[in-house]
Amino acid sequence: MPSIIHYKCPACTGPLHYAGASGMLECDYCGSRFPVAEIEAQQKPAEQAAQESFQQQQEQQSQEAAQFAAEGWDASGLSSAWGAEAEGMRVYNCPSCGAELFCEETTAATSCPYCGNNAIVPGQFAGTLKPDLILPFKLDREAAKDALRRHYRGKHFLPKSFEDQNHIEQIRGIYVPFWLFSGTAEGTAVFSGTRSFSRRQGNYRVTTTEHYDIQRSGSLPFDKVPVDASSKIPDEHMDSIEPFDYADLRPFSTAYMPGYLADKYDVPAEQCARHAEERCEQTMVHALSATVQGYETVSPLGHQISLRRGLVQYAMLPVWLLNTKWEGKDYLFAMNGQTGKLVGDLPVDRKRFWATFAAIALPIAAVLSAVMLLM
Amino acid sequence: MKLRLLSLLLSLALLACLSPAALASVESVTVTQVGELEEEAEVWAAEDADTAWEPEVSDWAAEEADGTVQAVYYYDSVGLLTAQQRAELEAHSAAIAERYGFGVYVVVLEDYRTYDRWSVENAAEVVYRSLDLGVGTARSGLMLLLSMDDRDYDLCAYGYGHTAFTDYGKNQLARVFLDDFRYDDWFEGFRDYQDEAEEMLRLANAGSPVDDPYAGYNGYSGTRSQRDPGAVIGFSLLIGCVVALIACMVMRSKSRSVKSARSAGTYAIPEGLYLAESLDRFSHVTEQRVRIETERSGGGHGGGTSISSGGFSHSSGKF
Repeated sequence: MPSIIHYKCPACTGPLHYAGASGMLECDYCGSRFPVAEIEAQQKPAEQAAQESFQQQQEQQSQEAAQFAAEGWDASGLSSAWGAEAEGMRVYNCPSCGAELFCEETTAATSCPYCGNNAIVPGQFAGTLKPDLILPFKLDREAAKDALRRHYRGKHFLPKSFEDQNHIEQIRGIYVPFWLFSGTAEGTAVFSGTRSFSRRQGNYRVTTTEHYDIQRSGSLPFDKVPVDASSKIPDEHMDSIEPFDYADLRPFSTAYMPGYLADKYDVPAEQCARHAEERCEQTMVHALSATVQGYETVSPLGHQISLRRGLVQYAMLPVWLLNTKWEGKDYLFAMNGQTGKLVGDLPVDRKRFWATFAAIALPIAAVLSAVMLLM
Repeated sequence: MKLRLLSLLLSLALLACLSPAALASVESVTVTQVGELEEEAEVWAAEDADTAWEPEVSDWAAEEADGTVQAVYYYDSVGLLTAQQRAELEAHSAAIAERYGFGVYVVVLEDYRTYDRWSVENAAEVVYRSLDLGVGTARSGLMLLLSMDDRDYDLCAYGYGHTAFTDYGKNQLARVFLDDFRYDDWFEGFRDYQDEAEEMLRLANAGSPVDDPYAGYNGYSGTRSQRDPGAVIGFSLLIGCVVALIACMVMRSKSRSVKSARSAGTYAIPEGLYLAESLDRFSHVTEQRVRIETERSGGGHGGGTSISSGGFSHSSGKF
């Protein structure tokens, strides 16, 4: 059984975690801080050993299965009996306490539920699966809690009990896999525009409107349009916490992961590309529309835009996910781990909604009635 | 006698000066006798001093003075009707004028632009003044002007015509003759016009001029009708509910912050747009004409009569 990778403090062998505030790996016990590069260098042999162990286990499992079948045993019943539950799961050993960890096959970074040590799952980021880039966390768990509290403010229809009785059930800092698409949108957009002139002729106001057919063609390059590559994370949440500041992007290293969870991608780039293309198309039309000037009205008539595809990169971006449950319904909030932008739909207090509605509608109706009847 | 005939000719000459082409297009006015003119002309001038309407020696003034002039109610430069049909219309208008003291006229022109190049309404006012139409000191009358070139028409009222023929009334009246004109049934259209105008005059004399039944005020008379309290409260509630719903939906939208991204503007390279082609091609021109409301008699909501700065009220369109 392969072991997961455990980042230990060189000083006290305690577990390390990546601290966004300092940009360094910090020891949970002694508080020592270490640069990412230093720990990377120290961990390289251990990572290689873990990956080799992982590959050996994969090969061994397949050999055993083949041998079992060669001996004449019908193993189809066994596989179907375990299949539903075992499918998509992997088992690892915690190097700290020896416990067996069951993880989903896409899990790339986790923590041991028994000893709490942070761990990186070997093999998930090896070879072609290795991400190109990583955007380290800048904001911590407390920042996520504060952001949620601020999110509640000013929401007139938020049920009071939701805020008062609400306890965040889970806060997870996750490196979410993203595809970053670069390319150039090219195409043509057609608009109709009008210019009007008014003059007085006798007792009439005569408005003359000139109509124009307008065409714009061109190209617009895009850099790293992100699309969520994990099926477990809602795409709308990930879209809503954009944008990320790519100035902080670094070459990928697992050294940024201790203390956070991570999944590898399970939605291929081909499936995600369409969403990026649609977004670029809309932006291109808007950009071409912005060049149409000197008209009083401009209406789009049609467009033909295509994306000349460029570089696709695999990146891990930092997201805090906060779960809560209220009246039997789950509420998910997502916060950009770099910028602090938090999104999440909130429940609406129906009584308060209709009370507000009545409080606005009735006085307006009363005043209006009085004015119309008395004047 | 010769002097009075000369005066009439002078009047027609003035009309011709305003529009040389019109001299040939408007049929000559038939006058059998001419009376004394000066007193009537002074009233006419004083009434319209603000619009620089010069007093004119006219057949109407003569008729008012001694009652012996044969007035003309139908002017036709195109020749739409036979002599018999014209006579029938003249007789009907004369009967209306005698009964109500109000002139109901028809003027048919080749092209109204010979009088005013901009609008048929202005042309109608010029014609009405030039022909000295109208009855009595108030010059009360209603004139249907047809311009055959572009099939424009204008219903032009003056004096008591503002009371008897509200904007709504004029529109109703137009519907009556437009049905006939659509099929070039001119005589039937003119007869319907006279019949309907007479009926509206009768109603106006009875104190109930035809006006918009849904107007909050009873048009030109200026008397306020009683509003239905139920309808007012219902309307107010509706407005209140719409405003409240908009406000509540805006507040509710603050609870929704998750949505799919539609654009990628953040990731577009700044100043990266390369414009390969930029083509602006003129297509066509449209024109919209909206009447300028200069005065609303009765001050009502939707009813009443809109009077232009020239003192006329109109309803115009195509037939």
